Amino acid sequence: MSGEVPVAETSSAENVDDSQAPEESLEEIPVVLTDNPYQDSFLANADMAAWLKIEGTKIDYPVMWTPRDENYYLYRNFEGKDDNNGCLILDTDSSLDPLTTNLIIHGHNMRSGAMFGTLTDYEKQDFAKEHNIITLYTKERERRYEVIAVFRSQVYRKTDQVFKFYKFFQADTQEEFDDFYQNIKALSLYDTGVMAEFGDSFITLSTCVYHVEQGRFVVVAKEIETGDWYSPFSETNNTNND
Amino acid sequence: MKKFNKLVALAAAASLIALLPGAGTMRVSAATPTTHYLQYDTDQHEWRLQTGSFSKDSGGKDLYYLNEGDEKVNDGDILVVMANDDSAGGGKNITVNAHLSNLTINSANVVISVGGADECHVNTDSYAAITGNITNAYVYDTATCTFHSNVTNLRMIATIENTVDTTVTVGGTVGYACTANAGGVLKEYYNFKAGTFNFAKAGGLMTDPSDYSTSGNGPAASAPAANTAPAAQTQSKPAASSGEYDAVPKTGEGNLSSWLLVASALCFGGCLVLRKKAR
Repeated sequence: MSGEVPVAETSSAENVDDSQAPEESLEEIPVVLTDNPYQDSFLANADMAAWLKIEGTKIDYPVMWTPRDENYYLYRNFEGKDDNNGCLILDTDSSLDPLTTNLIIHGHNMRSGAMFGTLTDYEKQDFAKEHNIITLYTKERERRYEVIAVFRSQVYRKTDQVFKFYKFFQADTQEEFDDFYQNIKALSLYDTGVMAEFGDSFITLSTCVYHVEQGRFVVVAKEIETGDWYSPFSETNNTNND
Repeated sequence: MKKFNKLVALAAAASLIALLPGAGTMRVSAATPTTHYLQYDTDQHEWRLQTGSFSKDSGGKDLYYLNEGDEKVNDGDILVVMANDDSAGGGKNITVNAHLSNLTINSANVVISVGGADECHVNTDSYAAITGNITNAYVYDTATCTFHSNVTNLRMIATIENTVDTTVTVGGTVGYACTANAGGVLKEYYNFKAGTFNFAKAGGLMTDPSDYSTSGNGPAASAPAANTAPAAQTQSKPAASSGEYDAVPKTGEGNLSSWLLVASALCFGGCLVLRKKAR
């Protein structure tokens, strides 16, 4: 650990002003730099974009990002070997740098409960209340999100003119934001009590379900606070996606 | 140990029933069914029959001519149509008079008439036209199949992809139909009028809604009704796609076939244990 930078005045959820865009407000807070707890994993595979963790659940996995082939890790493990579990995949239209409004992460709905095999537990409101914080560890920092909407949807046909949650990555206007926000709120299986406004960032976790053809179970969470900032580390160019 | 064996047998039976809804409707023959394998001899342009086990290396020499072997196929037997060249087998019809306990079209191209079947599996890449009432039909993945007679329960199952890509038409009635993938049943339909069932790859169910119902109580357990199939053969034709799906990673667990294999192995093991005990 190193402590070259002044200590942050606050990083608690209670003190974050939701009326401001999180990116602007959080970036300006001076912080202590700590060692990235997933540094070894980042160094082991350059395709790893982040580490996703939800306390109290099995969800504790690396998230891979391979713009050249989005499905590369769909049936490969972290080492790049064939594996039905695959890895969690950050949608290639999402980006951590620069950060897009919405980060969509896809994962297999495994019977074993691996990957997003337990994501449908969020159908129960009590479960969602107890596991409402989703943490994403990126190279630079820890991002914390609070569950805002839980719903079932599906992948639609290209010609279908409907709300497609998997098409929302960036809101540059109030209208774009409203369209996404109002739709996820309307679709949500219950009211989480969490609100959002233009400028907020989101993470969307998506997995297959079978209530309809091409069904998807979706958990959307809003970024609420920044955790630790991490010291930079030197990277090796170790990628499996060549 | 005895208790353990009992448990294994029960678990095996339970797992198979759980994995194959409607499996309780299977007709069980008291006699041990014999398995026969049919393959088209592309040199002789004849179907050959082999009983017991299938030897790929026999080159057809050890296979029986169908007209000699037909009498060897009895009611309750299992018939497996082995894979053949698309251009070869389809041209010559075959007839088996027995009522089979299981007819499996193993990625083959075949026009076959049977005296009915309790179960019929049409595996992926098959092109089949089947005459004879079927109680439980299973059509997998990319198979194309026409049932000329009645089908009591018809299941179209995707084991490779999440979407059901089979093409099925039925000349007779269909009591219950469903699409399914690794996650379970996707859609269910009931009581199709004769000659109206038409499920097209990518296009889904093409039947006019007035010709079937979407409400019912799952697969039927009754025996198939009398053959009301039209005499003329109808060929299944893929309908035009109504649009591709958006490209989103498919995150289902696509290993239904593995589960079925495990269940079958368990069931087989359970049966052996039971038979040993019976002796």
